[in-house]
Amino acid sequence: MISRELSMREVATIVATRLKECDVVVSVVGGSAVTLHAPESYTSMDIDLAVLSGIERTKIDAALMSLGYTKSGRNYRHIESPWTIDVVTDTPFIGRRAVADFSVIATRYGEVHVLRIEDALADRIAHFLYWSDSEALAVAEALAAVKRDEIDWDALDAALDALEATSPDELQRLAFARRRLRPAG
Amino acid sequence: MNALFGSPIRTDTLVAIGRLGESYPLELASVLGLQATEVRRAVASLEDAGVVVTRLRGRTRLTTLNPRFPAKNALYALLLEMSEWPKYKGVWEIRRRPRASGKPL
Repeated sequence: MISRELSMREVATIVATRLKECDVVVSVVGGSAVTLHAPESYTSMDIDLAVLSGIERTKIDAALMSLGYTKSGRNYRHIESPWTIDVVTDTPFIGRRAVADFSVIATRYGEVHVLRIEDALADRIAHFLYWSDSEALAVAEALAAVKRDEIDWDALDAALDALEATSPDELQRLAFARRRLRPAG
Repeated sequence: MNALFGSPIRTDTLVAIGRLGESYPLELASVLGLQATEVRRAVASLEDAGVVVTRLRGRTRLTTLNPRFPAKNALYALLLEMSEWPKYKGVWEIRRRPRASGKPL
């Protein structure tokens, strides 16, 4: 079922649907969440899945192997797919905030939970905040530019506030990132 | 404006250090399109001026803004703004966040 012709969205929904059949509910997080929302803004090399319920490695292994994946460390690879699958059996966090609400993206192959756009942005900004990661800021800017009309800016402000910037450098980076995401006008 | 911090190379080096948080001469030279020796000279003079500090990790000399520089916060804000100039595009694409072992690059 997994083939080279499939998009990342389609692969993610196939994998999430198979996992759900095995009582494992996952959400796409990290950079791959950005790619799912706006493939034109960023191309992730893998699909990061956080397990929301049904944390049982044997079930996860069985579900992915039934799709043709082989395990390599904590990642799963498929000969027909360019994206490895990375399954993290832990609650997704952005900064110190546990994420509880997700978007759902559907394709003809099923559905998959994914970080809301605002959380995907906050997640990238967190990397700029904590690591001075310019690439993550650039990705956030690209996503914000593409999805400008869909973003709930109040929710984004709240998500950025929850990053709890404390040091002077972090506060400056946060203010800088806010300006970059939401140019005047 | 290019020579705001004494020379274009000093200015470029300082802007890149500000945006990257921590860096080393070869990386700075790569993203700025300069020679490593030029960057080393600029870092040494910025260190003399008390604007940056350096420390050895292994065989690499890491450079950051000097947290004890009196106008450090104002300087950092200025450097962040300057880092958005198109000439610093190479600095925007540098990855700093950690990557779990075994994940594809």
